[in-house]
Amino acid sequence: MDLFMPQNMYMNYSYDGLLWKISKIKSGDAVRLDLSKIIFIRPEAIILLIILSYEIFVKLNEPIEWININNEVHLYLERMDLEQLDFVRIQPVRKQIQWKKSKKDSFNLTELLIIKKPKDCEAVMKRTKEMIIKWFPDKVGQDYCRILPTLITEIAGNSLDHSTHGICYFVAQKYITSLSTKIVVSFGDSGIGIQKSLKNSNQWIANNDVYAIKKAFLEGASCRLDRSGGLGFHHVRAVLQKYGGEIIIRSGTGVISYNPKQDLRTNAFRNPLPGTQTVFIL
Amino acid sequence: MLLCPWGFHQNQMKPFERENNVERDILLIDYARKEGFTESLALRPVAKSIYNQVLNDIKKVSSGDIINCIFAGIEMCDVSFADEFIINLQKLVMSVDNALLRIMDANDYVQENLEGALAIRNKKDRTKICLLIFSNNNYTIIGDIEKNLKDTFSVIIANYQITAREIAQKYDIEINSASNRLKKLFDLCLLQRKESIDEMGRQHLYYLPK
Repeated sequence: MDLFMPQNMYMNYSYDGLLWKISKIKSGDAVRLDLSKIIFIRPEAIILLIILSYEIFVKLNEPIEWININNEVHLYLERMDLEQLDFVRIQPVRKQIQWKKSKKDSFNLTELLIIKKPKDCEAVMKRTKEMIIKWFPDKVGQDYCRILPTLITEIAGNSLDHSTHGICYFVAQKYITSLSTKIVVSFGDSGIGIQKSLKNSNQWIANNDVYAIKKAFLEGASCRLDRSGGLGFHHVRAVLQKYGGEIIIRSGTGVISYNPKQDLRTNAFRNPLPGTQTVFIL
Repeated sequence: MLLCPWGFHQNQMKPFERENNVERDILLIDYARKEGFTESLALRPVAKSIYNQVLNDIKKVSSGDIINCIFAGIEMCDVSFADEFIINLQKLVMSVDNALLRIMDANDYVQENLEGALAIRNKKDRTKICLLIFSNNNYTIIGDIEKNLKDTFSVIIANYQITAREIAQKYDIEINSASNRLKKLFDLCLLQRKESIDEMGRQHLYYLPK
């Protein structure tokens, strides 16, 4: 079965049909992810593809092939070092790309960084800072270097705590538009999600993902039985209020989008996303 | 007769008795390295592990002890670590009479996150915990305290030791009010104290270790 990836794989878009199809996959099925509709890809889409591939891999116990990849998207994937994922196989391009590969650091993109243990956070922070300094050798870079380590440890910490195989995937990319320059930072894990985590310590949490995400993000609800924790999201919000930026969190069927300058936006879908995905637009 | 800057009789005070205080240094970079980090301290489970190691190493916090939490070599400390390790350590110190926790060699970034952790924890638990920063031979406080306590503290750091009577004279307030201010700072573990007996009678001498 070839699953067609939608053209827009943004966090706040619905891909209910795709998630429903994935939920129906059984052991022994032959599944490939068809990326032919994707002509432009963003960090959150990469993380999403990885998470979905892992979900399918767990069911089938064999690597998932990504097929029919547009040349430019293929080049983008090459820059991300996806070979490090043992559950993904990328179909080689049909037309040989003639462009010379440049050094990775010259691009506005980090490779896929994987946090498996707490100490990996430091390596990811260092690598991200290294890239940021290259992207922004001025004062802006210093601000990003101040913000990003905190965001990385707080979000990755949640992933390590609540992910079934304790892995957090991370990608950052610099975007230059005619109006501004931004960094998009995307995290993802295939854990149990925010609602189930909170239910460990708060039996009263409603079976509603949007409510659970809001509870964690806005009120600092903790999933720990000793009530410690719950500060991470609180601090992330404080950082966004101080420095500006936007966060989108998708867990289960819920998604919330927070920007200190706007009202909180929420949305709910029919089929749950495995784990939790977080995107910062800074 | 020697006069303090605001005109108190300095010879009324007994010399600072350092020998009563035991200083214990917690060199955080050493603990960070044991956890696989080289220049940062992050994540709650790591903080829990380091907290247990530190408790094991310092054995017991006793009355009059000064715990120096040294951040030299640490570039970054996240809010979860600050909450789980530093705030819990401060809570432990606060449970021991006359003990003091000093945060030393913490860079701006670390201090910003300590401040963030304190603000959230105090709001969440409706507590009032502050931290004492000791840097370049100078003391500052992180955390929310009332203006009158801040003023009193600034008077103390100018001379390192003071009595309620001197604060009362300085601000022209009742001695009870002055005593309350110092007691509040002491209860927040931002000062130490000892009993002093002089011609004015028995009184508490509040001080900061030099």
